[in-house]
Amino acid sequence: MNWRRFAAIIVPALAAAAVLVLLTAKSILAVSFSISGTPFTITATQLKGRGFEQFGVVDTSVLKVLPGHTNQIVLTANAIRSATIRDLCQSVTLGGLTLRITAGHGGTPASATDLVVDADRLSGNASFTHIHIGQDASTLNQVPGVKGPAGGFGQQATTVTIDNLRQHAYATTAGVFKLPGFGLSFGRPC
Amino acid sequence: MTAASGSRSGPGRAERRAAARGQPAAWRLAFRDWRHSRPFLGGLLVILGGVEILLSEEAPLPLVIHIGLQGLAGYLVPLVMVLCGVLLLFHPVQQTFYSILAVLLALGSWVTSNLGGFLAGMLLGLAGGALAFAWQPPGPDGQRRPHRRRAPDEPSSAGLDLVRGPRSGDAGRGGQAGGAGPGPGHPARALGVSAVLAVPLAPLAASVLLAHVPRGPAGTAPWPPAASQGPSPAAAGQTPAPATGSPVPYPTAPGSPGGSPWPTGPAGRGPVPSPTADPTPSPPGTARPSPARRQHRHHRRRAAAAAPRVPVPGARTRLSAGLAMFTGLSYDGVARVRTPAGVVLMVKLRMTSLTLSRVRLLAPTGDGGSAVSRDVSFGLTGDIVLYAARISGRAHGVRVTFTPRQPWQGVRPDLVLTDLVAEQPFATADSLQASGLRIAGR
Repeated sequence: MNWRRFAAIIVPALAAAAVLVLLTAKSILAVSFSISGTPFTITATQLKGRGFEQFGVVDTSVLKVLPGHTNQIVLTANAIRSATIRDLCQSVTLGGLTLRITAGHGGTPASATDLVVDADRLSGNASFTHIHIGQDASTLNQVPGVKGPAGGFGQQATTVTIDNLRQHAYATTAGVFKLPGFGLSFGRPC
Repeated sequence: MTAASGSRSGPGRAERRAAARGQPAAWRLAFRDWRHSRPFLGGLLVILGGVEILLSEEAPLPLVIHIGLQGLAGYLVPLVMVLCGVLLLFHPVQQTFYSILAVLLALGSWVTSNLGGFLAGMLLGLAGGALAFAWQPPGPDGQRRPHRRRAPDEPSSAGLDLVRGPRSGDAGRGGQAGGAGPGPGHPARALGVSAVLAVPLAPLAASVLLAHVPRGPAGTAPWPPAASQGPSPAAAGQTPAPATGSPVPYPTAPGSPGGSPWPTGPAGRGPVPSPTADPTPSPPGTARPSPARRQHRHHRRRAAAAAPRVPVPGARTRLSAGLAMFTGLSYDGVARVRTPAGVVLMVKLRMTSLTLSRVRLLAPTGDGGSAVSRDVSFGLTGDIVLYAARISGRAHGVRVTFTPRQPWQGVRPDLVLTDLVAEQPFATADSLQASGLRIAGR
């Protein structure tokens, strides 16, 4: 083992990692999210979105650790074509350790495109424009490429604003996530 | 450090135990030899890092493919990391290339894959890649040197010589005895600069490569770019692409600001040429405007109402509200509405505002489950259209039901119902305020 070789690569790599973290925190670099299987919490003081869809899905957990369920769970899929999120807080508890990601404090909110969150609990105060309630989930078209199962209940709206959003979610994906004021810490859940 | 201590204590214990038993633990020795003939710990850490990132994602794959290339890159990067780790173990000759690639991929995973599996996978990949890069094959005598520096006569690896060039290579070899001499500063700096330059561009290069892959079947698309991603760090280093902004030429959705791609509602004010609209006034006797309703604004509408252009889900949807206040209500007639179970006759109501309190919305998911919203207050305003197979409730304590076969005569512009139940509701509105929204699956 040649430790100089080790240093030759680990030092610049860690420096580059620090640059990545910095660029993310400065909202210059957008990152991509895709989580599933581990329940996590997302909160925000305000979420504004253009292009909103919501429908129910039955998710089958790969891990089979959902308490009180077999391994199936009914989730509400919330899809937003483009969203801005104020005071975003996302926490995941992995093995007793709670990882907490915060972003979008102050003037610049976090932003996301093609954000899909499968939540089993959702709460907040919402307002929608041009809403359709009770449309077949397979015909939703506000978020390109995201559709629910045929015969399922769905709703969609051209714009959405949710205040004091709180979601307990099992899966989320986002095309592009910009996290200004990014912070990663261990501590209390959101 | 871990490598050194691990390789020091592990075999030592094995030998002691073997000696105590008086027989050599042959498989342990064989495994030890195998381990020491390749960058074992580095490869293992890279594999673990890739697996950790994959586990942190674990999204239902069809969804990711719908979302597009970027979602796919989230899987590709850790998968190629795992591949690098496996190749480090089973094809250690190319350790330099695989380890540098693993480091670059680990850095790229920050952007593509959940912040590098929430940092842990990225750090594992960086540590593993660096360890594998620093590993050196055992000397010609086959002796392992677990925690000693390279002997002066030991050939240095071809990979580092390529990076160093002959001069710094000699310096490194000469200055080994006293620890880190000044010589290796050059390779470190060179590597550092190249790595820093290439790092932000690696995911970019991967995405560009991905973008050129025709969107074929989901299973086949990922792998060719994955294979061709290998040389990309070098190529990426030359690309003068800015590290700012969105790193991926992702085809963003054509923004339709404000305006819905949808006409303002299935039952817009104009004549809706809906193919499913019932041309014949169904139940003729009852649906004709009754004298009681004649004074209302919309009474001249035909009983056959335009159906929504979109299908409405099956029979289990149910909206109930403790209190429903309608304003500007009018009865539009009976519409034939498409559902998965066939065409269903529904009453069609229009109103200018609708306030619902203590709402409970039971929504089937289409595959067996249902989601429930509880204790919500809905305030709908604007041009509201409501279809339902059946509406029931109490008006001033009197039970009323409203079905296509039995339209209710008592529709007034301003109506208050308690204990409202609407079955298979479909509503459109210019705006909806939902306060105290709580949705839960069941």
